[in-house]
Order: sequence, then C-alpha cells, then structure tokens
Amino acid sequence: MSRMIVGPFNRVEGDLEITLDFDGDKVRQAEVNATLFRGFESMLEGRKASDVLIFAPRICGICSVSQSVAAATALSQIYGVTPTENGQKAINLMLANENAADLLTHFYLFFMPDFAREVYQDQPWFSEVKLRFKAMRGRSVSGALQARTTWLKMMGILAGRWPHTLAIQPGGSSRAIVDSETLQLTLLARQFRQFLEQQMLGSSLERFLGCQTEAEFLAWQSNTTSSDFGLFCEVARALELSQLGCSPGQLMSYGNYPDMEGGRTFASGIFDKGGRKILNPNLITEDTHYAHYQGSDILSPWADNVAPELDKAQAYSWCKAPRLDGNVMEVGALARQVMTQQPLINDLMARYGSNVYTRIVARVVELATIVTLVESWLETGFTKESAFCQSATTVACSKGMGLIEAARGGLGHWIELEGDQIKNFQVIAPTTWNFSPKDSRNVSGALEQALVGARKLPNEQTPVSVQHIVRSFDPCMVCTVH
Amino acid sequence: MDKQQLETSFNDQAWISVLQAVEDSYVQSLNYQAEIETKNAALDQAHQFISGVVSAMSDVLIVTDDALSISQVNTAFLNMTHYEESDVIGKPIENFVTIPSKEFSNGFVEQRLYQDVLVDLQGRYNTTRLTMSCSCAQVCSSSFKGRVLVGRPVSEVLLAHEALQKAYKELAVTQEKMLQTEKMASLGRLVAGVAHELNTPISVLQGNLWLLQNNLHADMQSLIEQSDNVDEQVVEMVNDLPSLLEDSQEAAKQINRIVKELKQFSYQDALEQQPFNLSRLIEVSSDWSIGNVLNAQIQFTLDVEDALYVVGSSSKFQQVMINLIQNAIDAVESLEKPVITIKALKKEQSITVWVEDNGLGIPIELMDKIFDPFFTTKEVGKGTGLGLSISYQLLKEMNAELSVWNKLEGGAVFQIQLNSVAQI
Repeated sequence: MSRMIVGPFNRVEGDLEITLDFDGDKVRQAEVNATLFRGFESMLEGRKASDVLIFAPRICGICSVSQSVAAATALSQIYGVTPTENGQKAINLMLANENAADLLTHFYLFFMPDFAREVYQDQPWFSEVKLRFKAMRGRSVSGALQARTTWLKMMGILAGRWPHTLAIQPGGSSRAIVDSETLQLTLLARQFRQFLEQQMLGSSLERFLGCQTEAEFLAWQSNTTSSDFGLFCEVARALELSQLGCSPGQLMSYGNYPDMEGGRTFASGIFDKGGRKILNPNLITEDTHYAHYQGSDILSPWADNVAPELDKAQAYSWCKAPRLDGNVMEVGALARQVMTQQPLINDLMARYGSNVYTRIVARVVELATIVTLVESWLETGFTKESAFCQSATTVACSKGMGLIEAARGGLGHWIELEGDQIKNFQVIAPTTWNFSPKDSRNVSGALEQALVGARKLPNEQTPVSVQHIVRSFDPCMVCTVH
Repeated sequence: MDKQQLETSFNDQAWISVLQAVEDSYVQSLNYQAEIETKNAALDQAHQFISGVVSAMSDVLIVTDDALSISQVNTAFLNMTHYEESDVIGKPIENFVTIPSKEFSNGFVEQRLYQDVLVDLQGRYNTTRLTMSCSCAQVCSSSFKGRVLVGRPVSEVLLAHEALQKAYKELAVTQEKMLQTEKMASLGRLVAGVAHELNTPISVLQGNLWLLQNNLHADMQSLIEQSDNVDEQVVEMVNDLPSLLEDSQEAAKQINRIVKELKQFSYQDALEQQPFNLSRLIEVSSDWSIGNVLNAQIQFTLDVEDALYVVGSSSKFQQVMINLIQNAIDAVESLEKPVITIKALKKEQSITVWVEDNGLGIPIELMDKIFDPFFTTKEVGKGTGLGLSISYQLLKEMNAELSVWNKLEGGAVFQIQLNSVAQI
C-alpha cells in the first residue's frame, strides 16, 4: 500500500489537494481536501439583507451570475415579490448565457487539454488532439475563446457587464431590453450556434439533439468524426472513459429557468436506483464531522454558522459534507439532463451510470440545448405590457431559500433575518456536494467514491486518470469553500 | 509750620485710617467673594440639575424669546431633528414647528396656552409628528415673554395604542376560532346523529320498494288481465311502474351510500386497525372535496397506484385526506391556472402520498408552526387552525408521518409516509 498526495491542480478555479491510498496500482481510498477558508457566510452576518446581492457574487469570478440569481431568489421570498415576466426572462437569459459559457470553457480549456499530455503520445489520435487542444497553443482552443467572447457580449447587453453584474434583483432585472437589443442578442446567439455547428459538433444542433438512443448517437458520430466533440468521442471509446470515475449515481437537480406556467424548464428532483423522486429541500443538511469546523454535528443550513477550527483531529477538509436525507448526492449537467429526461442522456445513464464519459456528453448536450432555448426565448422576445423589475422594499418573511442550477450543479443560498439584519447566511455550492469529505457515518463524497479503483501508470506523480476524473466534475473550489 | 504740622498729623493718623479702610474693604470684598462663590456653586448646581433634567427629557423642549425665535432646545430635539444646536438658536420657531391641519395654523405660535396640538417637527432629513403643549399663560412671570413648548412623538402613543388594538384583535380572533371549533364539533355530532336516525327510515323505504318491485307489478298485471274494461291510463301507469320503481330504488341506494359515508366521516371507528384500500379512499375523498369547489377551473390530477392496502383507521385517514385537499383548494382558488396533483405509490414496505398545489407555497418562517394547533393564515371563519394539527396527530397515531415543503417550482407539497402496509 502506498500513499500519494496530488495537488495543487492547474486549470481548476481555486485550490485542491487529494490524498490517495493505493493498493498496488489501484486507488483504494481517496480523501479530497479543499484547502481554503474564505468566510463569506460570517462576513454577511449583521448586514442588511440587500447586501447579499453585492457580496455573494464575489464568491466566484466564473459563476457570479449564478450567485446573483441564487441570492435574488432567496431575497424574493424575503420581500414577497416574484420577478416580472420580462424580468424573469432576462434573468433566464443571463443565467443560460453564463452556464453555456462555463460548459464551453470546461470542454476546451479544462478537460480536453489532459489528452494532449505526453503519456498518450503513442495513441493514434494523439497528434490531432495535441494540435487542437494543447494548453495555450491548441488551434481549436483559440476558436473556442473567440466564440466565448462573442457569446458573452450578450451579457454586456443583458446585464451591463460580466462578471459581478448588479442587474439581477429579487423583482427582475434592472436592465430593460429594447427591441433593437433583442435583435442584437439574436445575432450573437446565431454566431455562437455557428461555432458549435461548424467547429465543435460538425452537425446542426437539431441533428445532434435528435439522437434519442446510444445507437443513434453512434451513427451521428460516424458522420462527424472531424469535429472537436467527434474527436472526444473517439478518445472516449479508445480509453473506455465510460468505465472511468464511476460514482454511485445518486443525482440531484434543483431545476432551472423558471417558466411562466410555474414550472422550471429543466425539471427538479432526485434520481437513484429507484428512479426519479420529488425533492424535499428541507432534508438538506451539512455534516462537519471531517471538516475544519467546531463540533461534529449534522446541521440544517438554517442553523447558525459554525466557526472554523484548524486543529480538529479527524478533520481533513475545509469543505462541509452536504447530504440529502443523509445521502450523498452528485450534481451537475448530468443530473439536470437526467431529471429533465433528455432522451439520449437517459439512455446513456441507464447503460453506463455516472462516469467521466456520461458527465462530458451531458455537458455538451446541455450546451446545445441551452443555445436552442435562448433562441426560442429571444424569438418570443419581451412584452410591452410587463416591466423588467418590480421594487422590493418591505420584508414579508424572515427566511428565504434560493435554490438554482449553476453550470456545475445545484447552488443554494439560505438567508435568515433578525429585524432587517442578516442573522444567518449559508451557501451550499455545486462542488461542495460533489467534492464533499466523508460524513459522520464515514460515507465518502461523490468524487471520493468515483476515484476508488482509478489506476496509476508506473512512475506517475500525478496520475492522468485522476486528472480526468477530477475534471469530469468541473470543480470550482472557490465556490466550494466560500 | 502749620502746614508741616498738618502734614505730620495726616501722615500718622491718616495713613492708619486709610490702611484701616483698605483692610476693611478688602475683608469685606473677601466676604463678598466667598458669598458670591457659595451662591455661584448653588446656582451652578441648580443649573446643572435643570440642564440634566432638560437633556434627559425624552420629550422635545423648545424655549423661545419674546420675538418667537428659539433660545434653547434640549437633546431630544437635536436627536430627533439631526440639527446642531448652532443651527437652531436664534431662528424663528416657524422654521421648525408647523401645523399639519390648516384651520389651526394661523397665529398658532403666538398663543400661550394649548394642550396636545398635533404639529410637525421639521428635521434636517425627516419630519416627526408630535403632540405639542404650551402653558406659559399660567406660570410665566412678567419678565419672561417667550414660550416654552413641550412635544411628545406621536408614534410612541400610537405604538402603545396599536399594541392594545392588536391584542384586542387577537383575542377576538381566538374567540372566533373557539366558537368555530365548537360549532364544527357540534356539527359533527349532529351529522352523526342525523345519519344514524336516517338509517331506519331508509331501510323501511328500501324494504318497501323491494317488495313493490317484486310483487306489485306482477299482481297489477294479472289484475288487468282478469278484468275487462280497464282505463287506458291505468294500463299505461302499470307499464311505467317497473322503471319508476327502479329509479326510486337507485335513489334510495344513493341515500344509503351518502349516509354511510357521513357516518364514516363523523364516527370514531369501532375497529381501528383494519386493512383498507387506500387508493379507493383517496378517490372518494377527492370526489367529495372537489365536488364542493366553486372554481371549476382547477386542473385536478390523480396519479394513484391501484389497490394500495394499508392497515389503520380508514375514517381517520379520510379526514386527513379531505383536510389536505381542502387546504390545497384554498391555496389555489384565486389563481388563473390552478393545479392540484395527488400522487401515491408504494415502494418496498412503505407507501407515500403527496398532495401538491401550485399556489404561493408556505412562507419558510411559518413552516415550523404549520402543525401547531390554532395556527392559521386563513381569514377568520375560513379555517380553525386545527385541521393540520389534527391531521398530524391522527397520522402519528397511525405510525405515519406528515411533512411539508415548498416545491422549487412554487407551491406546497404535503407528504404522508405510511409504514403500516397491509400484507395482502
């Protein structure tokens, strides 16, 4: 048995360290350590409720809009307002814009460059992957960055700037969009679609999303081998990525993009071996047994903030362990697409479960879906009858809970007031779920379980298989520890 | 010589008396000094006492000179207006104190005697409403021509009044609820009694109808056949008899069923632990509840597995279901697109029932209180605040669990988790 400590990881937002115990060349046990403490939760105590809108987005520089939306959703319950029709649509567009940008970034900048490592130089696909995805130099990467820039220009129109826009409010968006701007947005979305169709997928979005089963997906792949995603599919088959990084596959999604009928465009719920179930958010707890926080309790996010404790004997991470009704949950694009019953992802999930392959395919499917959704929202446009924002001033309820989906999975804000001041502010971020440490029942988090069985090659200092598995979750460590 | 003598005598005597006089006046001035200092100290103490009292006053104090310019204000005034003392001293009082109602405004500040007049105190940033009093006419000596005004913030008085009003209202609501509860209880007893009493006449009716159906028709027919001249009308009537009787029998059966259900609803079960068909019971409960709704727009969906059997008290469970459905109806009644969904499914050894609506959901801060007795958000007369607490208790007795949360899409979900599944 040998022990290896991997970290820090490059191309990951924030700091991460993983302790691996090997049996021979196979990982027997993994401990994931989020090494930072940031204290946003304590920072907001005693402040005015509306300050959350300013502070919370600063938790993260890459998903600040998601933080804004979660905060605004929680505050909308506190102020007893709902966003106006136009406001909700504008917020949906902003969130979709950021999420799609993050999904694209993950594929081109975070995930694919690992296949251009020298360890794969004997593979038949290596030269092509290196040409396209080599970090800093890849040809496809520069195209993707250009497309991302174009796509994020939409955020400029919708929200004034990115990151850390202040446009998102409990009652809607403070930035009204006029018809000419809707047209501009439509044109930007069309340019992004063009990149996806020509460079990334090699087919129309509709043909790609038309794949209902694995068989149809494989047939689609045979016609799109020269595309970036086609190249991934080839690599995935060659390296059997569907056998790598298997998690228990208990998935959870809060659902995203509220529609005017009182539903969410991506459905909420949980999925395990027993199928889909309705989600009761009151059952969410945070376990601090192995985390650097005082005591070792299982606490509801409504309970008071626990103070950090550096010298806790059994603690090994600064990330708490969120659980739903005591169970480990995995969040992300895969969970969202399974809950919303996307046909292809449904089929792949039934065949392979949750692993590196299904996680990546689900992200690309979601990326394509979001672009079609954005186009359909822009096509109906904004109404002349509704304002973009209604003001929220009087406190109607002392508690608010904002549960939404960031690109990396379910993001939750819990706000409780005392008078007009914040008594308790709690955040559970997507990677807090996925990269959680063990809980008091000694059950490991989703990544920790997914790493078990990963192999290292002889003389590897940072096993490439571990790199793939970690990045398949698209971690955001700064959000995790907030 | 004379001159010299004079000078000499002056020199001695005079110097002495002058020195004496100087000393006397010095002593005298020392005494005066001491006296002044004592008086000063007393004055100082008095002044400190008064200014202490003035600044400790929570009421606003304004003193003006005879030209009605402000000569003194206290700390309460400064705190309330956010002005510095230098901002106000010497300014006309009208700049700060105005009368909201026009009829009194003319010459108000001139007056020397008034009690509890509503005025607005203009601060730097805000306006505070005070009740102002002035009573200079009685006490002022002739040397003081100014005014002394004392004001008290209305809000404190109002707050006290409001608290009283609120307590009174709560008392009234509680009383109303108790009346309502008692009314419901006696209504229940009445229904039980009526149902019981109806049983006997209904069985007589049903028995007689059965007799008529089986015998009368045949008898009449044979009578008609035997006699020669029977009125056509009579023949027609006899021919109609079977269908008329059948309809009556159907109607009687219907009454019988309603009575049975009423009894089930209002009586305590004799046998509490019986296996019963939960699926059927949910259907019956929803039919009952939905039948009474004015808003026919409600999109009502039942997604219940067939033949779910549970051990327990069916009547109690029915009461719970009707309560939950009624709550859901109340929650969606005013919506444009009201939706209520009831789901039930069995998994391993437990059955879960969900009653979902698409209303506004439950404010999170009330979530803990919702199962407390007498807690209600409905208007007086619409709810007693007992429904959910009773449902919670009843289910607890059946080893079942009632929980509630807000769906992320909006609306509330009530979940019943039943563990006593019948083995059939």
